[in-house]
Amino acid sequence: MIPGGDPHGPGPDRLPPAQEARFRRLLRWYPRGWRAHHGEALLGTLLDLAEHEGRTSPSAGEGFAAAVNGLGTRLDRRFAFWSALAALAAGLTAIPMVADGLRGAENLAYPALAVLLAPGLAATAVIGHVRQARIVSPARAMLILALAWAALAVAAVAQALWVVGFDMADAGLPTTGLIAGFWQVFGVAVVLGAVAIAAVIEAMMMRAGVGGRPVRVLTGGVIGAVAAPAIGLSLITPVAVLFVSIALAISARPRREAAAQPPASA
Amino acid sequence: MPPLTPASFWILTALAARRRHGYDILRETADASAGRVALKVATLYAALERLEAEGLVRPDGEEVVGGRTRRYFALTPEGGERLAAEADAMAAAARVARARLASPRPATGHAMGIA
Repeated sequence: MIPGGDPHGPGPDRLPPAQEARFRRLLRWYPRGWRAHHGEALLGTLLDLAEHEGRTSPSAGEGFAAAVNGLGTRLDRRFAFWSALAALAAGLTAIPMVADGLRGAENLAYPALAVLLAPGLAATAVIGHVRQARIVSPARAMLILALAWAALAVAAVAQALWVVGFDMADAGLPTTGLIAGFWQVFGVAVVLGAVAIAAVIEAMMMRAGVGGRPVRVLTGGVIGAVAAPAIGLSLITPVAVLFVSIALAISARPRREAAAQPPASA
Repeated sequence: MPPLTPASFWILTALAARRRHGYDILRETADASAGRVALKVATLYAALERLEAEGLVRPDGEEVVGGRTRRYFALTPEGGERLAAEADAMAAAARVARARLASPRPATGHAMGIA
């Protein structure tokens, strides 16, 4: 609850510089361009609120909100472009491993590259696009990003179980536990991925003014439940991620008119 | 037209009567919503940036008080229309709910002696 009082806010009492610096540090979460445009206004509001609440440092909630919104604001078109290029590089690095057949250390390096890093960077580029288009808020963009990376990290573990299981089968060792573990771990990855996809679809439908919240959530859930396992299975090879990364890099490429706009972020 | 989020609705409501700066918007949204909306400062500025991009609010000058920058925000004509449309839709929904509540309801199973 915000305390009442003078609608024009507190008086001109200034915090000592060391205490004001605690609040100013929160601005570092935001990109430079955003800070230049909005930073002082945001800082002023933080200080006004803190004075009314008798605080000399930001609350934990304010710190968390600044981190989530600041990092989310960094997810923009430029970030999407570089993420897509990095995804392309990771995917290309994984291609020779598939061509040679996975052996030894590649059993773990391949899932890290082809199932976690390359699709994670591609997902980051997608989220950068939808955040820049204001389809999702910075905070929701960060939530979706965390879900997507968590889903892919779990999927990478599933892929590692799979390839290790193959090696053990080749060596004539029993693999029953590993195969059962693969399906359970893959299921967790699918659920996390489905929630991430549903969050994007729900936001897109809300922006388009389509359906009430229950309809949007249900539709997002159904699309996520279908798309997540399909995407997961496509990660067996890095080919799909390569094509998606190329498309994302092209659509996020720097354009002259974008440079002429005021910097929302940098 | 997508519906306004609760935060956007109360921010536009806070700006309906006059321009306000950030802290004043936080205070007014909390008061007007009876505490149901308690925005963090970073969330408020994310919402204001989105509303500004949608043409519903606009910055309306700055002043520096005690070394602190206060940026004022004001409702645009489009923002006023949007808020009025949202308020009409909410009032219509409330009328329907009240009418249903006022209509005679059948006795419950318990009242009819059904186990």
